[in-house]
Amino acid sequence: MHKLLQRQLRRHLGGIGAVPAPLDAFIAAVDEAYHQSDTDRAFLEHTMDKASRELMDRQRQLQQALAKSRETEHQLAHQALHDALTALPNRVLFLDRVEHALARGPRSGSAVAVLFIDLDDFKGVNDTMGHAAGDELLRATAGRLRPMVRSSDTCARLGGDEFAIVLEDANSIEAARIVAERILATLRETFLLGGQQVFVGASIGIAMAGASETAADLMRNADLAMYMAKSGGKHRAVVFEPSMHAMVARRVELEQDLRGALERHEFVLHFQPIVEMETGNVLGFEALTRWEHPQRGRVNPLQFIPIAEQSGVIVDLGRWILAEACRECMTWEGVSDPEHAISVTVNVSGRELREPDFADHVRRALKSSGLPPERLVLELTENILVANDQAMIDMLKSLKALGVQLAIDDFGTGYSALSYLQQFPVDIIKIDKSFIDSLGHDGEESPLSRAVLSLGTALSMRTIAEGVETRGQFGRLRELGCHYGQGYLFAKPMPAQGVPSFLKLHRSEVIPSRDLKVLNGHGPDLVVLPPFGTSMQERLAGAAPAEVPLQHKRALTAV
Amino acid sequence: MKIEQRRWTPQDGWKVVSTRDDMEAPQLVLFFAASDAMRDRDAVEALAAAWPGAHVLGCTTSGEICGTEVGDGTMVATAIHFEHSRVHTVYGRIDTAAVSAAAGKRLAGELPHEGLVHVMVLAEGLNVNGSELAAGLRAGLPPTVAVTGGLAGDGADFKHTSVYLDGQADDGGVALVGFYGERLRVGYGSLGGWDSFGPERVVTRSEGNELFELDGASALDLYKDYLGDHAAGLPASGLLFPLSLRGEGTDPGLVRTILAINEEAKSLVFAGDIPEGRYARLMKANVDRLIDGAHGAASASYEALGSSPPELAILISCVGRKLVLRQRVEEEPESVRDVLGPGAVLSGFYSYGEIAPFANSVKCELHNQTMTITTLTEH
Repeated sequence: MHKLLQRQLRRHLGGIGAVPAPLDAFIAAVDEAYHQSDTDRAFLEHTMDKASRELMDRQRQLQQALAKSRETEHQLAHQALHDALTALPNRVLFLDRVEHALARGPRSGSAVAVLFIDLDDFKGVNDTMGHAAGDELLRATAGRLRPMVRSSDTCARLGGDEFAIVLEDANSIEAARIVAERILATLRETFLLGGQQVFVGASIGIAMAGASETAADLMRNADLAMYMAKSGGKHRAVVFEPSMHAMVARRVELEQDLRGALERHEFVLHFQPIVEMETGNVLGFEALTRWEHPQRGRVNPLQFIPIAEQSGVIVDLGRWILAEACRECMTWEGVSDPEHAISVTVNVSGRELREPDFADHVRRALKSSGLPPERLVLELTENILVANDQAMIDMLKSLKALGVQLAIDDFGTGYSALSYLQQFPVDIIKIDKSFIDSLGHDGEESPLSRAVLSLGTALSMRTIAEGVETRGQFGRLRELGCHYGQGYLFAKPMPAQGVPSFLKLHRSEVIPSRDLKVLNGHGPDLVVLPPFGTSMQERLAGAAPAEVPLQHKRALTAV
Repeated sequence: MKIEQRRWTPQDGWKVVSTRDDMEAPQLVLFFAASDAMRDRDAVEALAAAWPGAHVLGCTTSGEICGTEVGDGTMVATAIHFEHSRVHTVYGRIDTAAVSAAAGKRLAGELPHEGLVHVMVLAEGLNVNGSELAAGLRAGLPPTVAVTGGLAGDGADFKHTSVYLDGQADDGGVALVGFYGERLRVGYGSLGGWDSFGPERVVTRSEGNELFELDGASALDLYKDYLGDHAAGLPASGLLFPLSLRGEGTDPGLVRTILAINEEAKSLVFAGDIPEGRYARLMKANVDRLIDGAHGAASASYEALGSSPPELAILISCVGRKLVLRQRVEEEPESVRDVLGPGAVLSGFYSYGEIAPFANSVKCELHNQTMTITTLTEH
């Protein structure tokens, strides 16, 4: 019997014994009801306990889900403002920081500077080594840039190979320039990508905030300055100047003009002879492009070649040059020395070499002109040797298979690892003018010049010295065993129609080497022809041009 | 309408409970019998003998309602003489649950539709799929005709149920009574009174009326966890935790009762479909609210009759309610009596499922755990 019922019966009736028998069934029903009630309550409590526990579990799960969701939210917020690849702030955050710096600038009395940094050869790395290597390079670049700034400054990746830094209290342009130089230096150091050494370098634009610049203005100015650094030859930092806006406008115009220039026959080829050092024989001519703009007059190749490369105009232009140079070369057949067939050298840009049908095009140019392949020299810039680029090696091999000769231009100035050189089927190296300049001056001669020349010899390649301007250089180059020379000392570039008369004069005015007393008694057997009215005797006697116009070959290398 | 009510007990056999001096030959005798009593075929056949010419229709139960009393192991027979109405009956078999809908539709088609006012259905309670049967009936009947009724019970044993009509008591039996007559009024109401509790769970695996998983976890394990010591009493103890089911949006929820468990498949078999994707919550009983539910069902069925007081009320209540109410089970018919008044004859049974439309509808559905009341009167 239920204890409560027992107690109640005891208390109120004196115990179960006192209950009359007819009430037994009633007592039993009450007893059962009491027990049922207990059971029900216990069950309900058990149920509630289970449900509470379950709900607590759910609550915990929800809290975890909420925490995770907040974490995700936080990550998304971070992702929205940071570059996933390098973890640097992105363009949005960078602009915000610049705006803050500009707003704070006047109060703190400090000047705000923005550095716009663009890698110089990123595309080459991406194209030749793949995107994974490109990504690795960007991460490594970020890693080098980060320590370049103080914690108060912001270094960001704006996209592609563009980075930017805002210096919140750069006291002067000089301070900003020092930072830029440090960055140039660190990015000029070798990158190790997938076990290969790669050189890239960067161009940097610097803009200082004036009184009224917005963040967007400052960014645009720095970008513009970077652009100028790029078109000024890369690997440098340029400070923004207001005149740059006009220069850019001019460049945009130039680009527009450039697109129709080929159809309008505004390009002409000039030819500069390449002369054998020992014999004075003309080996051939390098074809150099001139753009005769109807309004601007002759446009400097320095200006238009980079634009042609960036805009892709270079591909069609290059094909025209190739065809034209081959054709011209064949017209010199009658006037040149039959024993010394004249070759023609054409500059080819990396962009052209990456056109899959480039070799076909060369073959067509040879076929239609009738020029024997061995008399065509294709001049390539050193930077195509940057990486172990199988596609490029294959292209050069198929060019070699055509029978043409390959030359490397500006040798010694690039950042290529020389170890790559042997992988490429190159016949000739052209020593950059910068190595030639120091030659022939007692005590000033750079050991590097000698090293570069001897390297060519060691690699069993023929060497051509570029920018030979003085007798001293000439003599020293002969001593050092350089095979050929090209420069104002021999002849300036000349129009195509000038070539036959030059060749005729050359054959008639050969100066026997025994008549020459040059270079402190060194270097006999020289036979050189003076062009354009200046006799060779005069030249070699010291009448070299007092001023040599700037002939920066880098700008021509792509033509 | 003239009604005589008799009750059978093993000790005393049939005894008249209530009758009228002017009682006339009934057209319909409804009887509800405990499983053991149904097996006493002589006692059942005695009804046909007592009222020759009447359709005798009945089923096994989990408790028999006679007036406000609830019996176990008894039979309750209600003989009805309609003064202005007629009835038709049809009987069929459903061999497998899968054909429940088709059978329902076929049987509904066998009833004359002309003048059909209402249909009552009694169906075998363990092998018939009540949800599908209701769907079949809906499909086979004119859209204005409502169906009420229930699934036969078997105490708390869930072993064998049957439906009887005029001498037939096949396995899987389904019987329909069609009521005809312009002067017949039929009302109905169906209410539960259970409370949902605990977290809402999604039905993640089920097949028909067999439930395997809720929220990706075993449903059987969940029930055992909640039942605690009572788990040993499954499936009967599962009646203590019906499942409320809701779909998306404003879908009115259904209540589902456990009929069986399958330890091997780790599943629970319910007295109605458990579609995947529905949201389920456990329900628990509150004695007072169950009784309120019976009261509410009675009120709804009365209101549907208009001004005429009911003469007969057929109460079909879920066995789960009986298990919870125990000693207080008779408070259900008492609360019904309070609403319907002393003039109504109350008869009915505890079932394995109730069939009735939702409020404000004639679309019948299978319900579990409700008190479903059908009231009839002639005027």
